[in-house]
Formats: sequence, structure tokens, C-alpha cells
Amino acid sequence: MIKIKNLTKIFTLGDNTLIAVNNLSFLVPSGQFLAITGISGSGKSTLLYQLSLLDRPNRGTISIDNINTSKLTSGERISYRLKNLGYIFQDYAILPTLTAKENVMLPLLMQGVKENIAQEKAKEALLKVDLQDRLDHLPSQLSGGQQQRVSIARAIVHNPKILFADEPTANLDTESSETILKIFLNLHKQGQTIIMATHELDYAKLAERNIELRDGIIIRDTLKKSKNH
Amino acid sequence: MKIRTSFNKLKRDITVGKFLAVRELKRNNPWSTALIIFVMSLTFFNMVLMGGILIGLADGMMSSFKTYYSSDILIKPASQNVSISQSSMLESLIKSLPSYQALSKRYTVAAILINEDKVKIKDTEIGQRVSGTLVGINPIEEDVVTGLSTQIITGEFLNDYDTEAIVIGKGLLAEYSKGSSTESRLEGVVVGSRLRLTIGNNNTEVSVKGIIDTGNSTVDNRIFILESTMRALTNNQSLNVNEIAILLNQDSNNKQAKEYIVDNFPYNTDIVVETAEETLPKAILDMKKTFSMLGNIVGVISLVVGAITIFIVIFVNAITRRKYIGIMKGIGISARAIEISYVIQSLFYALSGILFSSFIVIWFLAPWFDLHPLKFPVTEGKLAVTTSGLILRGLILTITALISGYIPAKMVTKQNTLDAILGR
Repeated sequence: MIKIKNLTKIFTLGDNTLIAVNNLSFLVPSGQFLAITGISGSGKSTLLYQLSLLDRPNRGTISIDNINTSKLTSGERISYRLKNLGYIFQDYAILPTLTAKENVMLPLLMQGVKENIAQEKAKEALLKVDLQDRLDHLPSQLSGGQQQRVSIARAIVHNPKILFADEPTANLDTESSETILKIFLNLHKQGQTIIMATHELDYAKLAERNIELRDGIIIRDTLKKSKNH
Repeated sequence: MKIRTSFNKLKRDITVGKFLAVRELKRNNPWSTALIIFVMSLTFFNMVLMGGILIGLADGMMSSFKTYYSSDILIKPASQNVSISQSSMLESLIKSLPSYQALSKRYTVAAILINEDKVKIKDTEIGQRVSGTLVGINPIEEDVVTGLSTQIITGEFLNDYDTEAIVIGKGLLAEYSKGSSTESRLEGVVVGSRLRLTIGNNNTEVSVKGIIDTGNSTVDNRIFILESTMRALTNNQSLNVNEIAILLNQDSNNKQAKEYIVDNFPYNTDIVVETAEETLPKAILDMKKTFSMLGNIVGVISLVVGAITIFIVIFVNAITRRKYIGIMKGIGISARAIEISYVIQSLFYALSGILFSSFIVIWFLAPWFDLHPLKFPVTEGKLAVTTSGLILRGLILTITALISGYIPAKMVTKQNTLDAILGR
């Protein structure tokens, strides 16, 4: 369960002040697939950065399973992200000098998992995203969709509590986007908590819950009644 | 418990750092890797070669002095004396030294050599006469102590029957010392040339049996002749000699031997006993000090250049991968693991450069300099490179590379994670 209370993020540029996230409070139960939508500049990415502990809010608190993350030091936040959170970036963000398998192994190695075990787990994660035949390919040898699937495998390989995805389909064609969404829905079925920021309403509709932002404020919070997709 | 946790974290960071560094190096452009290693090799070359050549030059002077002139100990008359008093008694004492191996007694006197065959070109006599130190020796004794016969470049060394022959140092001959000095030298002298040897009012005709080149200016400006010939020529009835060079057993202590002679010779105030090191002119010692300093200065400059090279390489690499560094931190990779990966890369560049250039120095350059020493007017210069010197310089370069790799990596990893990811 994620508990967000009075979350505020303000950017200051010279004399100008921009309230990107404005005093938001809401709960995200475990296992929920939440889509955060809104037009460009509505604050969805900023909200995602605060929730995934990549950035610190100016005010308010984020508690994950009763841990107040605002009190964590920088080092503790990195460690917390490593163990409990998975992150999928808009532009895949997989390391160019590592193969698909090595990219996925990295968070496991950082957790102290032995290399041979990390290899096996990475293979399993890549199997989940249907990339078992691209294990030793470098990012430059993969299509955009395949790279994003490597990114998903890397984000889920350590069984994170929450999976964050920032515009995961923004750079992909329709076919690849649908593949990615199918993977998310599958993970959601298995009980994975997913928080996805997207401006594509068709994909947002597939999520269990939909929060729409405008100027950093929630203007709509829609919850589907059933989980049948 | 806390120490154990920190140790485990460090171990984990090293594992991840190594994992990243190995793959980065493996998949880098091989040409750029080769270029960086080449630059590191040049840096190490500069650190080793310049100092090595300069110190080798001073070592060459010192070594040639000992080998061809003073041997392990040289005994000369004290300044108030012309020759060594009680030379025979002293010789017996020297032979009682536990570390004694051989000695050579030398009679020295100033002499003039004149080439009367020289066709006059000008009215001056430049090229026709030269003055030098005439040294009367027992050729067998001298050869055992200084091995001068091995340094004959043309002709032969003296033997016991060469009563009218001399061996002349190349420093006195114009053909062998071109451009090295403006002093007059004999021209047109070859093996077999007949020269007039003048000592004071006495003179005789001698033939050149050999020309010697030791690389040491003191020896190369001498004229060697049989002691019997010289004594006859100078009407010297005394057995008191002017120099005694003593060769000791290998690894024996020169200072102890010197003390033994001084303590046991009753006329010790009439002689000067010097170890090979003490025989060296102060100028050579000063030169060695200066050359060492110059070598160190060149080494430090090379080190700075090497450090800047590594810094730039790692900094450019880290800056261009700033986004990926942000992403790594974003997915939970510690900054320390990332820094370690860059440090490992810089260590790889430095160690590869060090190994490559050490290989070249040890297997090619040092043997090459041994065969083709640098020719200088006063001596020959070889490459003075010791294993300990190589290790020390390698260690310094490695530590420099480590620091130069760490600083830029730290600069980039300490940036805000989100700013790095978003390129802000």
C-alpha cells in the first residue's frame, strides 16, 4: 500500500514558481494497476518521480508499506529503490555496453546475488517478456520494442513491490506498444502493483484505475469495478 | 556487525564495478582503447627513458672510471709527494688483504708525442704534437685489473716484449675524437705509426701498437708503455710507483679494505687511499645528482601529462554517459560501484601501458643501449633501468591513474540522479 499525503512539488526558475504537483493525497493499494494521465505539463511525470523516490517533494509524505520514505537518506533511497521498486523509462534506458541478459542481471548483482544465479533469473525475466532468443544481443542489435521489453525485464527481475513506468509506449509503434501493455496486464494479473504515467488514453483505459491530472491537481480518479481485461 | 555489513557492501560494489568495467572495456572501440594505452605507454616511457638515459650517462662515467682506471681501490702519493713511498712494502701489505685479487702498479709522467711524418699544411704545428700522461705498466698486471686489452679498437695491447711500443688513448688522436674538443690532437696516426716520445730532455722513437677507447676521458688521454722502457727513458732507478690500482674479490667491502691498508701501512700519511667511489671527480657526482634531478623533473611532467590524459578520457566517458549513470543510480546501482568501474578502467589503461612499455624497455631498449651506447665526449651512456625503479615508477603511475580516474567519476556520480537522467 502506498499512502500519499499532501504531496507538493514546486519548481523555481528565477522569479517564476511552478507548482508541478499540488497538495495531492491518495492511496494506492497493493496489486493495483494505476494509470496517471494528463496533458503534457500536467505533472504526471513529476508525480511519478516523487513516488518512485527519484526526486524529493517540497512538502508531504509518501509511505510505502508504512515506511515513511521522506525520512530516508539518499543512500537509503537508492537501496530502497534497488530492493523494492522497478522503473521503466520512456526511452528504454538500457545500458549500451551490456547485452540484454547483462542489463537484466545488473540489479540482482547489486543486491549481492551471485553471478550464475543472476544469469538464471535474468533469463527467466527475459522469458516473461518473450526475449529468450535475444539474451546476448546488445541494445544496438534490438528494436525499440525489444529494448523496452529488456527494460521491463530489468525492472521486474528482482520482484519489486511497485513497478513504475514513465510513458513506456511513447517511442513505440502500435504493435510494440500493445505487446508492452499485454506484459503489464499479465504482470498485474500476477498481483504486481503498477503505476504508469501515460498520455495515451487508450492504453490508460486498460489499467484498473485512472488518475487524471491537470496543473498538478487530480481532476478525475476512476476505478474500474472488475479486473477482467 | 557494522564493519561486516560495510565490507559486504564494498565487496558487492567491487563485483558490480568490475562487471561494468570489463564489459565497457570489452565493447569499447578497440582503436580508442589502443590509443589510450599507447598514450599511457608513452607516458611511462618518458618517466623511465629520460631519467634512465640521464642517470645512465652518469653511471657510465662512474662505471668506466672504476673499471678502466681506479678499479676497487686506487692509491696515489699524497700531494706533497711525487711517488708512493715504500711501494714494495705497500704491495706486500695489499697482497695480504683477505679480499685481494690483483693489483697494477703504474709509473706516470707528463710526456709529449710528436708525429714527425705529418706533412706540414700550415706553419703551425697543430696536429703534429700532443701532450699527455705517459703510464708505465706491467701489461699483464694492468690487464688483469682493468681489462684494458678488451678496449683496444685497433691494433693490439702491449705484451712483455714490446719495449719500443705504446698504446695510445683515442682522446689524443684527431681521427678518433673529431669535434669533441678544440685541443690539439695528433693527426694521421695509425697502428704502426712511428712517433717521437719526449720526456723532459730525453726522447725516443716508439711505434703505435694499439689504440684504446674505454669511453673514459682520463684513460683515453693516456699513453701506455712498458714500465721497464719508461724507467730506462726517465733514468728512474726507484721502485716507488705513482699509482696502484687494486682489484678485490667480488662483493668485498671496499671501505674495509681501505681501512685495512691505512691502519697497517706505517707511511700512511704519504699516500692517499681512495675507494672507487672516492676517486670519482666531484664534477661527476654533481652531474649524477643534476641528471637525477632532471630525470625526475621530466618524470613528473610525464606523470602530470599521463594524469591529465586519464582524467580527460574518464571525464569525457563519464560525461557522455551521464544519462546512463543517472539511470544506473535510478535502478539502484550505488555511486561507489559506478566509480569503481571507472577506476578499474583507468587502472586497466595505466597497467596495460606500463606492462607494454616495461616489456619494450626490458627486452628491447636496455639490450639495444648496451650494444649501442650513446657516445658522449667524456663517457658512454647506457640506459640505467632497474627492476625496483620500474616498479616504483609503475606504482606512481598506477596511483596517479587511480586518482585521475576516480575524480571525474566522482564528479559525475555525485550529480542529482534525476537531473542526470533528464539531462538537466
